[in-house]
Amino acid sequence: MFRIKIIILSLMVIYNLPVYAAGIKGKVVINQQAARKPSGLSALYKKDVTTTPAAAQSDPMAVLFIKDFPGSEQPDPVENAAIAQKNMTFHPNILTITVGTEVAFPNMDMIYHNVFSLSETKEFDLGRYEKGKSKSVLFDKSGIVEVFCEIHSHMHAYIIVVPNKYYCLTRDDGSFEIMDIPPGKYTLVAWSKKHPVKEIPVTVTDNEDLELTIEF
Amino acid sequence: MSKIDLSLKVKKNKILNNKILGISLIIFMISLCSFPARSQVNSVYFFEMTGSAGDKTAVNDNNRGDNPFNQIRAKWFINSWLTDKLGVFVKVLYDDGIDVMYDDKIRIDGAYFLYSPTSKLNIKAGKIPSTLGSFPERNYLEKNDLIGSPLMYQYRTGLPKGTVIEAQDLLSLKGAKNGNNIIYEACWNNGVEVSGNNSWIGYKLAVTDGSLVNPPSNSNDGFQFMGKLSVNKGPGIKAGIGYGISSYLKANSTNIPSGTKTEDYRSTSIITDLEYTAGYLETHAEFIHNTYDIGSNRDEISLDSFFVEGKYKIKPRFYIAARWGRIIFEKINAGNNSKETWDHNITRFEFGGGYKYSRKTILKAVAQYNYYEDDVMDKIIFYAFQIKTEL
Repeated sequence: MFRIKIIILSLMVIYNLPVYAAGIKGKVVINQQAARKPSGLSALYKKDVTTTPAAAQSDPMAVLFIKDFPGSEQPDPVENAAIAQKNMTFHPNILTITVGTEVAFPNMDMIYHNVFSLSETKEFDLGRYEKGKSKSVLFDKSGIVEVFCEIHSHMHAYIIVVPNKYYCLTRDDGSFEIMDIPPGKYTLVAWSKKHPVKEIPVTVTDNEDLELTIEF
Repeated sequence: MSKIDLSLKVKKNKILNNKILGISLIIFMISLCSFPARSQVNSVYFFEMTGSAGDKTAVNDNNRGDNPFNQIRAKWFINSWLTDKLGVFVKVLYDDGIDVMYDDKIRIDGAYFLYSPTSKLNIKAGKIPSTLGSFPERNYLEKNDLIGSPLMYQYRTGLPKGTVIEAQDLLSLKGAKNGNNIIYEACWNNGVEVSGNNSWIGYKLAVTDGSLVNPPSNSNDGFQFMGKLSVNKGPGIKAGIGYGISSYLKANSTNIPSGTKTEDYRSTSIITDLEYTAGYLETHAEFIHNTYDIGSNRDEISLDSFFVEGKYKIKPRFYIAARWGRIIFEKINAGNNSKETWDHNITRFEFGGGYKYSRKTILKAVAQYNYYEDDVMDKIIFYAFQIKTEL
């Protein structure tokens, strides 16, 4: 039996396969009353800006990622990442990408938009451009990027730039899992729209999944 | 005696303003109580702190002493959608520079209901923003990239607000800067506006009391009619043309010739606006032609005014902006077979820049140069710095 284990582990190392099977699982629970209320001109001039129906249906409840994973290995960039400006709304409303991903911002409306962000993670301003045109931004630093349209102040999207491949989006029921994490002590970051970011210290072992319930 | 009369009038105006304030708040509260299930009150505050060097008052003071360059100003916008189609909006202004002789430091600038069943039909009723021009919309939404208002939206001519004057007597009031306006942005009148738009064309029609050239004229029995057509065809291009006619003298004006009424003295405005934007560039231009009935024969005098404005973003947080404005008064008979303009022609240049500290906080710095033709006080230059934040 011991011999078989040694053989399997050796094969895993040779083929660069992870030598663990544990991860973080759990559920995200949203307390609606804790959500920050919309404010500013966006809230004033639009009839309903608390949610954008089309976007809300497809938005994940939360995005979770390991913040301080050691090593310098760059994750693969997300292919064909884009946030479209359509019907005066950003689609998708929440985009999760890895560091090094280039995001396109195509304008699909008949009118001009002016996508910009003053976020610490990435500061950019794409100027005004017409329907059918697109401009791109490379996100080279991890963090949360809030994106707005300068012309239409109710347009608001989020880009979650994660630093490594250990991340996930919640499923429709709020459940999540990040698997195959090497054992160690980390900080799990949980982000949910309209709520303060949560940072949770976690210890991942090599033989048992960590079960968590995260409440916003 | 005149001082007593003035104080009585001021008191009446203040009582009227307080009544408007009270009625607006009552309407707002009743509206909310009537639709408790749906109502959610949204409010936005703009706070402005401004420092300046040089004489800002002579050329930038509005009718009641409010001035975009005054040290402390705050605007409060409150709204609530009572149903999917019916909303109520209130705008309150605080300006520490308002002369308490004429008005309170805090006042209701506007309070109206908006009924909006489709984009093709919107009805505003109450104390509503100006229908004409495009700057009021930008200023209302706080998209003024400089600090001051364009010359045509703020300047006060020498033409008196409450008396009928003959043309030759008007020449002695050149440079008085306390008479009728050209199109007064801060003046919201009571009335109804119907507007709508499809993908490329829009319309506005309004009937209100008062006049855009003279706020106290809402005390007369006349009406103001305004209409505007706008086109939004092609990327980044907007154009509009509007017309307005009103009885511009205030009630009980003096020197009204027998057989005529205060309301017979009309002012008209034809105003065009153009906007072009692309990439990091934003430009606006407006032109206005005004006429005013004056004298015992109700002869027309006129003026033309325009401004051109541009903004260019250098970085996501930095922009530069400039505005050039001019007023050209009609030449009238000055006797001895000579003619001269009925007020001093004026040119204004305003340059500035802004730094966005955050999405809702901006720092602005501007320099303003005003040049009056043939006036003793021919040049006024001043500098200003402003911090403006949205809460």
